[in-house]
Amino acid sequence: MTALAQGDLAGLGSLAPRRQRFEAAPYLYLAPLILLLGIFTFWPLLHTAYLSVTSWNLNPGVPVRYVGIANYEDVIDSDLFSAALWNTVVTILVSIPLKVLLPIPFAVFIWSMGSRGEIYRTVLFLPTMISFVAVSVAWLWILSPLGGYLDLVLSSVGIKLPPLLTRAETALGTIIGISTWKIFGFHVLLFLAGLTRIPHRLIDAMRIDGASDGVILRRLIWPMLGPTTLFVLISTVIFTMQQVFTPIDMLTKGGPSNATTNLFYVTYQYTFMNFSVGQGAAATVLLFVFLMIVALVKFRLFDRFVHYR
Amino acid sequence: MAAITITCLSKTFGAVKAVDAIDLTILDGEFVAILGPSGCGKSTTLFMLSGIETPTGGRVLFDGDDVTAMEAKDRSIGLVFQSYALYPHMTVRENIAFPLDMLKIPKTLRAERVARAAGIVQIGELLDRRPHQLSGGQQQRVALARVLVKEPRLLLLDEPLSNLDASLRHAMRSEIRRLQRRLGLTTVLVTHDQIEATTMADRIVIMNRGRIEQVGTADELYRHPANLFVAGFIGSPAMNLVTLKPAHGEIRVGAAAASLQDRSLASVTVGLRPEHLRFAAEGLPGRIALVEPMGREVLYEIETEIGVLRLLDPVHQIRHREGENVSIAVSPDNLLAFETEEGRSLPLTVHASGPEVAKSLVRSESLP
Repeated sequence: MTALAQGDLAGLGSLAPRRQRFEAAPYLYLAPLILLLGIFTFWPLLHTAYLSVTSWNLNPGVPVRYVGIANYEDVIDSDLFSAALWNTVVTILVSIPLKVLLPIPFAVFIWSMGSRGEIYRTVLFLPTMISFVAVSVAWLWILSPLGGYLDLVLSSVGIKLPPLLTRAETALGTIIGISTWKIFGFHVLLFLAGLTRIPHRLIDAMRIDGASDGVILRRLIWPMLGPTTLFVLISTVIFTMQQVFTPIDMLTKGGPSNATTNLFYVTYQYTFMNFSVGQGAAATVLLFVFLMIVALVKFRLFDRFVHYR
Repeated sequence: MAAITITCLSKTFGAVKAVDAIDLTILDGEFVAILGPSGCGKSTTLFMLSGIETPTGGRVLFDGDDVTAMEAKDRSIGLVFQSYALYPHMTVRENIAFPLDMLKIPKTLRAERVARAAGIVQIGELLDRRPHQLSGGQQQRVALARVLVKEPRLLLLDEPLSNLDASLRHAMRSEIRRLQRRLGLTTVLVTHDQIEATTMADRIVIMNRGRIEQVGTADELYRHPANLFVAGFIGSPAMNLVTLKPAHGEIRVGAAAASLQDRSLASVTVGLRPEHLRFAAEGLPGRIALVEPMGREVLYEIETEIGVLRLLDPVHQIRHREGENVSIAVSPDNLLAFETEEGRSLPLTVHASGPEVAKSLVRSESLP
């Protein structure tokens, strides 16, 4: 029977009965990724959660002490954390018009210029390619109230440059301005990529149907940029905090009087400036919750708005 | 509805003359097809009529009014694009209503007109779908409805059927034609498909390399091609073109003979349509080189002393095998002659004398 079956089924390999058996190969292929994710993502996640309920000052000789939710209470009650939360919300709200909406008219303008727009695209994209540390040093010099470049320019017309980075009222705005300047070209590029999805015939068709440039922008380009806009919006909300870590650390260290810190920088402040590992971990867990909420909103928005191919 | 006159219309892209000083008049309510190979300037001409492209020279008149400098949105035209150009983020209803929206038509009237236009092209049940949920034929209908809804004075169609499959193309062809007749719309169709042009249009404009080669009805183009290009372009299978040396101003193919007006010509190109050639007891001797059964008819390739000729035999059985010797006859009425160099058509006078000719004339009448 077996011999017969083998002979008959020799040419029908896929039809021959096959025993379910453990396949090691797929897991072997996945192993490096699982290992890396485990070591660098999931283990730190769990360990942070553990650290957030302990008290420790980074000193290996000092024992780690369990303190329950005391760190969370301390962090939530602290002026530093509420300043960080407030600055984060302000930064996000101000970033949306500056980094998400403002690049759209620039992209449309460059797009409408065709190949002549390439020079502007390149110029706008340049800041994206420079290291943010170098950018921060350059801006530190430009904005210096004592003989900085901007000070020289303004004093030639009789205006005294205020110390933008060392005043609580202007420091956060300055940081947001620098981070906008840095990311702007990249977002313009993303919108330009989104615009290439719009066939030129659609614009011709709208024009024949009687649409003015304004109507084409509102009724065709804006809705068709929907997926790109949403992507830029989400990445702005999530990455702005991370993005401004470097200029904050280089220019203000979160000050003056907590005016420029944010939810991201504050975890660094707790852990590596105050050496309170538990509070840093607690702030990190709160940041994690905040980002999860953002991610949830993001999925809802995608379902609602990105409804066509 | 509008009558259209274009005079000396030109469009150059850099050094390339896409459209080279063409003149054309289209009557009110007429259906005109612009036919030509790709890159002949037919779409550019259409886009200049629509106002999307600005001419580099010449004028476009609608009912005598110069619209050359007028913007597309003010011309009251409808254009169906090859890609249909439906707005992907709008429903079918919103797509069709869009031109009315731009015309500031009141909401109540708008719904009525959308329903009417959708009814004309029979897509009433698709109004709440989005373009990507429709088949190619349905998208085509939506594109037509969006154009018809604004009651344009000129309908422009840019290869509207080229993205449809064969059976749907056939159905849409007659549907568009019926619609155009019923609405009396002045229509310009751009196509590279001669069947599309001949079946739909009242008159056909043949374009080649930015110039108009000939304007006429399908019958005129078929029977009296103005030059070699039109002769070779119109008709399927393509016309046989052979170069002959006239003797005393007379050309002869087998028993068929005709006289040229200009007796001094050393060489002329003679056009013989494959469907006008037939097997005969006497005539031009030849040898079958290839047999191509086409179903209803059989196409034979025959080597003769004047060159390889294709003969389309209306008898669907294969009557002659490859290698067989045959004789070919043609009615002298069906001979066409062209200048070999310039390609211009040459008038021919048929000799009515001789029993062979008379016989072949009788036989040609019996052909379908």
